[in-house]
Amino acid sequence: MQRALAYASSPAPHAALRFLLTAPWFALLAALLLLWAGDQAFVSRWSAATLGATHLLTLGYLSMAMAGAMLQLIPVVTGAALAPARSTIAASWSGLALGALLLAAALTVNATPLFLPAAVLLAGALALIMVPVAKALARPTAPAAMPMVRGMRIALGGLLATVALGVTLAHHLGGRASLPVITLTDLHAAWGLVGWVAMLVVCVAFQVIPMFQSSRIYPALVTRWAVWLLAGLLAAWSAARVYWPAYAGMAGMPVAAALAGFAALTAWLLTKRKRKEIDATTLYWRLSLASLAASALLYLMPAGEAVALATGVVFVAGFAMGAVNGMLYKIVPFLLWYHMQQDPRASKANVLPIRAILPDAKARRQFWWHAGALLALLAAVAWPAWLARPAAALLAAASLQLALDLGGAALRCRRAQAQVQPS
Amino acid sequence: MPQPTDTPEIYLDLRGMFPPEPMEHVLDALTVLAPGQQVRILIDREPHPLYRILEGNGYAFRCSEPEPGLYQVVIQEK
Repeated sequence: MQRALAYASSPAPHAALRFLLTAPWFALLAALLLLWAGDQAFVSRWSAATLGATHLLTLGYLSMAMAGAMLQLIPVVTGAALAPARSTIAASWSGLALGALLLAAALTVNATPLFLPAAVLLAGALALIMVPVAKALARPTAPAAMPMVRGMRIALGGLLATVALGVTLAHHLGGRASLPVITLTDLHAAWGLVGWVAMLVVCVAFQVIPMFQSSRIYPALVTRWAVWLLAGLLAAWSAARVYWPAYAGMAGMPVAAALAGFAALTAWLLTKRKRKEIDATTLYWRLSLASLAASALLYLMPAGEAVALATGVVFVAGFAMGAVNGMLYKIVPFLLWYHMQQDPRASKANVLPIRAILPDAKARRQFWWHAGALLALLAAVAWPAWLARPAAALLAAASLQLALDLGGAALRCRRAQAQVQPS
Repeated sequence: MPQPTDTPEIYLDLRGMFPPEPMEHVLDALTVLAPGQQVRILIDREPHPLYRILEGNGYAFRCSEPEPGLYQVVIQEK
């Protein structure tokens, strides 16, 4: 039966898909860089290859996927139009991809002349995509959408601070200025990981945990104030880091406690789900929340290079990648399905069921590879000589599976659409 | 999938379903909607993506929130 519906006013899925399908390849590149560097990457968070791989993950993987997710989620949740021009999307995507590669190369081989071009390219690419996102978020929105919108507005502020600090650091690393590099790097990392990544995951969780996990909704007090609290605590830590560095560790504890509190509350909501079916996204949320709580606990341990590295591993590869991997397995099949619905030639029989587009069994298999990689990466912090390369190989295998699962789903839909005859 | 009926409305309770199941059910219902009939849905979130499809295809709709977190949408051909 033909559905005979036109979708001209619907947001084009191409824009979000371009970012979402590309992102996992950067996780693979990061893993290959770790494989090449071996135990050197696990000596310290300041190792050249560690910095390169970290930026491939945070920019190429996480920020690329988060930009795509925002393009998809904002119109769906708020009803606001968000359809940047194709040329804007193409320029932003290219700039982000090329900028992440350039910056990773500059950090890995200390190529001084590359730092500033990479930073300018990245700042421009992120501005291109985030200006229309910010305009959509600035519009008045329904109260039900406010928990996500409020957090996204603050997360954009976190991204702005991260980029400004990053460009300043690139200025220093490019040999054009002499700056307090350790303080700036700590601020850059904190605003990037907490102010941008964690803030976005928290506010998106307010929306998608009840929607996709059929849990109760978060308490109104939490959705109203949690993101402001997190932003305020991060600002207080920043002030301590700059003006009273001796107290910075103590000032970071409330930030860790707030994130651990979010992890505990969300885990509790997941135990109260109405539907008991556990899919790959549920598994990924469990991994992500456990990792967030673990990173908060690690922060409380006596400072040391190994503890700092382990905290970074569990936060980036466990919490952030866990949340984003799980989200990709939900959003990409939905976008492909929605895209097929939009084909005016398609009849209902031609539209693949969403479970056939990307079977959950594939996602679950990839989850276990990623969970194994996370454990191996943590063990590699303790025994780098033995485990650095096996851990990197596991992460590469998991990331390749993710990229192939998502790309395979897109190809499956394209083939199904190619078979459609005009009716 | 809903079958054509003589009743004045097709009623769909879409609470507790995972996306995109609710939209699939509504699109199916619209294919069997007779002139003068309406579709009434109950859902636990406001279905913005559906609105865009309805607006582009000559359907009128009105949404109400009978209780916090519960939405009722009534859809008719214009």
